[in-house]
Amino acid sequence: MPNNPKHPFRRILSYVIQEKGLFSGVLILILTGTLMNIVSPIIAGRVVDITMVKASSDLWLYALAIIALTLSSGGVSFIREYLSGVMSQKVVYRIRISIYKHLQDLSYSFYDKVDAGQIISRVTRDTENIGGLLGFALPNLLGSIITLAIVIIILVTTNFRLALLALAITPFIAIVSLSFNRFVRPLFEKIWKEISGMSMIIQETASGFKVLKTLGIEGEMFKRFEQKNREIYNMGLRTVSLSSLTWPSLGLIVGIGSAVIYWYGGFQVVAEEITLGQLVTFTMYLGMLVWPIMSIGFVLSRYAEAMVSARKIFEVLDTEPEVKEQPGALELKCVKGAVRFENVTFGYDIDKPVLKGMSFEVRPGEKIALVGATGSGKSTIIKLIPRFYDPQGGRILIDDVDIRNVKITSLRRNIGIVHQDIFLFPISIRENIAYGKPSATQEEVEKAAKAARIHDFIVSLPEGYNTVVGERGVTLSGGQRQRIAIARALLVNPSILILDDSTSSVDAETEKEIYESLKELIKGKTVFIVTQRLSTLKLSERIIVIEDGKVVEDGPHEELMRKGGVYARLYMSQYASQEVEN
Amino acid sequence: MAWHFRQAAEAEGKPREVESRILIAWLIRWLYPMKLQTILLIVVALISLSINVVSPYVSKLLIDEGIMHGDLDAIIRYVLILIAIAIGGWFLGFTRGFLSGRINQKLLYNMRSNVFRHMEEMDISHVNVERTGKLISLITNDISAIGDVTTSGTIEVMIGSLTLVGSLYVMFSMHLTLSLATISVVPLMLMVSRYLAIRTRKAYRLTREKLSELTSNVEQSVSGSRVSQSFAERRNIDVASFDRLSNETMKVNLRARIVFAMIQPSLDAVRTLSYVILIVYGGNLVASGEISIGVLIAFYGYADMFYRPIITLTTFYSTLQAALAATERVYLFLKIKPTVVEPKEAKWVEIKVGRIELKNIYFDYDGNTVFQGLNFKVEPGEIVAVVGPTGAGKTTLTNLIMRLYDPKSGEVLIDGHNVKEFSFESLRGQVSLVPQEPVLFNDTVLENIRLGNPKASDEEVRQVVSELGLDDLIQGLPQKYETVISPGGGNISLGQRQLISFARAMLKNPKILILDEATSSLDSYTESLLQKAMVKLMKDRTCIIVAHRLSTVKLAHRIVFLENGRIVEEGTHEDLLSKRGAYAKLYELQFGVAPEIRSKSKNSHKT
Repeated sequence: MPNNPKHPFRRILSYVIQEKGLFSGVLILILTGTLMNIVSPIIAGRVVDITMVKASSDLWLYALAIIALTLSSGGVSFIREYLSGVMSQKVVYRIRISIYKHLQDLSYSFYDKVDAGQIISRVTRDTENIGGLLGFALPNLLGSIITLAIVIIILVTTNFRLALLALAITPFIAIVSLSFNRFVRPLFEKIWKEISGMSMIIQETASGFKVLKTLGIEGEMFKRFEQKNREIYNMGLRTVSLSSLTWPSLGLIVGIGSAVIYWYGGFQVVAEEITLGQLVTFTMYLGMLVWPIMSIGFVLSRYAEAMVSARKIFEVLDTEPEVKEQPGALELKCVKGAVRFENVTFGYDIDKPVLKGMSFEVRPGEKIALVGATGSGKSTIIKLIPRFYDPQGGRILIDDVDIRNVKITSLRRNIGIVHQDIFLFPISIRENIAYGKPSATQEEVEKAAKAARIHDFIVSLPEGYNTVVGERGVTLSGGQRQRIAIARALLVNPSILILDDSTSSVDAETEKEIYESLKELIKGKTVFIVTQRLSTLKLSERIIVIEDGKVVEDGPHEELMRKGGVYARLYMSQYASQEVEN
Repeated sequence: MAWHFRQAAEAEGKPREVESRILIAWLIRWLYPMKLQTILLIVVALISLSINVVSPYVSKLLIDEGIMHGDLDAIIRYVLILIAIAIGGWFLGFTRGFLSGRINQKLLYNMRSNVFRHMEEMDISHVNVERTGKLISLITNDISAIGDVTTSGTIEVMIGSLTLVGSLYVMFSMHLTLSLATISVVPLMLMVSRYLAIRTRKAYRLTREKLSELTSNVEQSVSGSRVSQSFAERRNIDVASFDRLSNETMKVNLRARIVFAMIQPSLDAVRTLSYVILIVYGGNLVASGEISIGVLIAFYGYADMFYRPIITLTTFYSTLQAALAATERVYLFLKIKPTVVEPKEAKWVEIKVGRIELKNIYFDYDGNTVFQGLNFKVEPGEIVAVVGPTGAGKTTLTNLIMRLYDPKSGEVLIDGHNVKEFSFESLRGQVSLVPQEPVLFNDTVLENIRLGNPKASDEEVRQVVSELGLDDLIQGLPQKYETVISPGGGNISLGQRQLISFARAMLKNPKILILDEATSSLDSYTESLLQKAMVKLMKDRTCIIVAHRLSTVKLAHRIVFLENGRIVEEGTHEDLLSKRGAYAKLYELQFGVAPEIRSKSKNSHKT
């Protein structure tokens, strides 16, 4: 993972800069809007003074000025909000697309390490955080700074001593703002963490509900839940005590501040040093100091949050896919299906090799069973063929071409694979089967489903092929899921078919039927079957026995049985009880 | 935890079924345990309200009596009063925030406890993996959404409305027509605010819907990444559909942005209208000497007081709607009553011998008939294997004995007592069920085993493990007994999980053991460990085993072949084989290679 030395904010700015026009438009609007806001206390002060000298005829003028000011500043604020929205949304959109595309290119090894929820929040929550920063927080910050600067200048130039009094409150506001961000925000984060711990307890309870009931450990689980619940409660209380201080304290500061200004300013008015109108203007400016200072605090914490998100996003974007296409990779045309492993070594963890110099050769159209104990490496072998991982040593050839020299999509187009852990999408069964070839006709889908012995079941459902799988639709058994996955792999009509323990949850009778019907479809195709069930082995022409990352035996069932080696022992041990009986 | 994000995004949506009135009344009931605090909060709120209303009036006095009269003492007097008001306001504000926060937190706490407790009491048909996301969202998101509104929100709104009334009173007492002129814009403000509230809500809902779509799209492609990478054609299709969706999300967001961007300027415009009225009409009144300048400035303050609660109401409206939607979900969930409940006079029934009898059982599941008059009997100490095709009702049979369901009619008897007489503790404390899919919790191996009998000591756990011959297995784990099982149990193999689940069942030292064998195949080492442990586990117990393995079937004294909820064959392995019926056929299929092996293995011995 190469480290990009640029600060994440600068990288985000590089996205913003692509919207130069919008960005400068927003800046100009912030400036004009702020200036407009600053005028209104002056007008209010003038109004007071005018009414004092009883020149009521001018009031209309000021009234019109106020209306004009409100409307135009409203218009400016509207356009500013909208444009900053457009700018931030465009950036969000662009970041999203680049993460998504990158996710598509990342290899298995990436998905092995990360939690799905985390990646999802990269695309949703984290990008939104950045959007919030660009669309709300930053414009706000700029507006605040400009407001503060101008208000302070006006105050100081019009009445220096009164200005000093007014500004005396700013440090207090800053303290409140800082301590809120310092003490209260971290608590929110802690609460969030506890809540996800609580979610896990709920999840465990729900997914292990039967076990929970049969063990009678409702009380035990409740205790765990209560522990989290109580922690959340306690932390909530702490948050409450701290945050309920914040707003009243601001009120107090402003209240005392304006009282003091009335006092001192009132004396000045009496001494006719200033007018009452100017005093009113001053108190209004005092009010205008509060928000900008507070919001700078908020913006800073939003900024910190957004930077955390940005870092996470760029971490994903900077992750290089481990399996990469070579420049100038060739298109692998329709293959015959010869597969050759040449001294292949591989480990998920480089220090713990799973395959230790694996070599074998498969002729086009051969039906191979891969057999071996758990952890021997048989599932790993088949994950290397479609280049889900690249071996650390040796090479793999398909039709005598090193698979690293061909385009990844063209390689995978030739391979159909049914994984050990079946994943179906929460879409209709039809769409699931046609997943690899969405343009497939209903006939093609049905043909695949029939071969996988799942057609009859599908049509027995009230909505047939349109039945949606999963949370919002039917719950399928393990065997049904496996059969749909088989249909899905068959539909793309691959030259090489890989079944990784794909019928383990199917009952024996159906399994037999599946293999019967597959026979026709897989004629001429190279097939790899990884299995624990010995009954399945009979279907393969050749058995490759893997032990400790190496091929230890290789040959047809009868031959290996005669040999009386690893395979024969393995076979016998599973039938041990039968042996005893006979 | 992918569901979490999607659920969070889905929180808003769909029209409600339960009337707001009922929901609010229901929510108020949750405040009962905090009666005193709630009353105190209302009192504090009322006091701070009156202070709010008074302070512009004090400013008026300050200007009129102090500044305008050049009375320096009066200025100091009113300034001190203003400072006192500020300090009092601070104190009251703090108390208010603190009390409402406390009430809020307590309510959330109680509600979470209640919902979780309720969930634990539900029938197993109501709680399953598929619903996990909803349940989590219910306890975390929904309840949090309710909390804010019930206390702080409601009371804020209440105070806001009362402030309106209070300031009206002061204004009218100062000047009648100026008051009328000031409030003349209120209807307009209400209309604008109502319009904006509705638009906001719609826009908000649309963005949530799109976000939820986007989230599930990402969720799918992340959790299905292995599958989609296996299909070469998918990349372009997936990228295109994501692109379309994020584009739509952007558009919906921008449309919402227009509405949001409108709120401030529109409300400002309306407020300005009231200022203009004040300036022109009020200014003229001052100029003509009818009112003092202080009154005019006080009116400014009061106009502001009108403005603020109305804005609060506008924003509160959409929060309230979301909260009510959340309330409805919690309300409806708590309304679901479990059907399998403990008897009123639940008692500990001692299982002495362990005879099981199912008499004339009728049972439907999800509208499908499972049993129609099933009779089934197991003698004390007998080992019965239940076999049969998928969907025959094997697992249901075991669920009925554990009273995870109640039959529609018929009786389940243990030692002659109907299982409905047992307290849950006595039934489930004396009968162990090992499910097909072993479930381990995110805790250490030791604690996972101990769940079988929370009172067991570490020593007892170790002893049970030794008895089952699993010492090697535990020693082989990275941190032995202290190995923490990862969420979902992915860090140890299925076989290991199964074995730990055996130890857990054994720790209970049950009179009756029910074992639902896993269908998935295991490697031969684990298989043999499992086999040995099973033999030990079954010793001296009444056992019912839903069997998938030949080796297990052979351990049974009697085999029951279940098909379509009926017992079609019954007897020993040999009996049934010689019968050449359903069992023999199944046997043939499952172990179809058997005859061949026999001959071949003999050959291999010869060579």
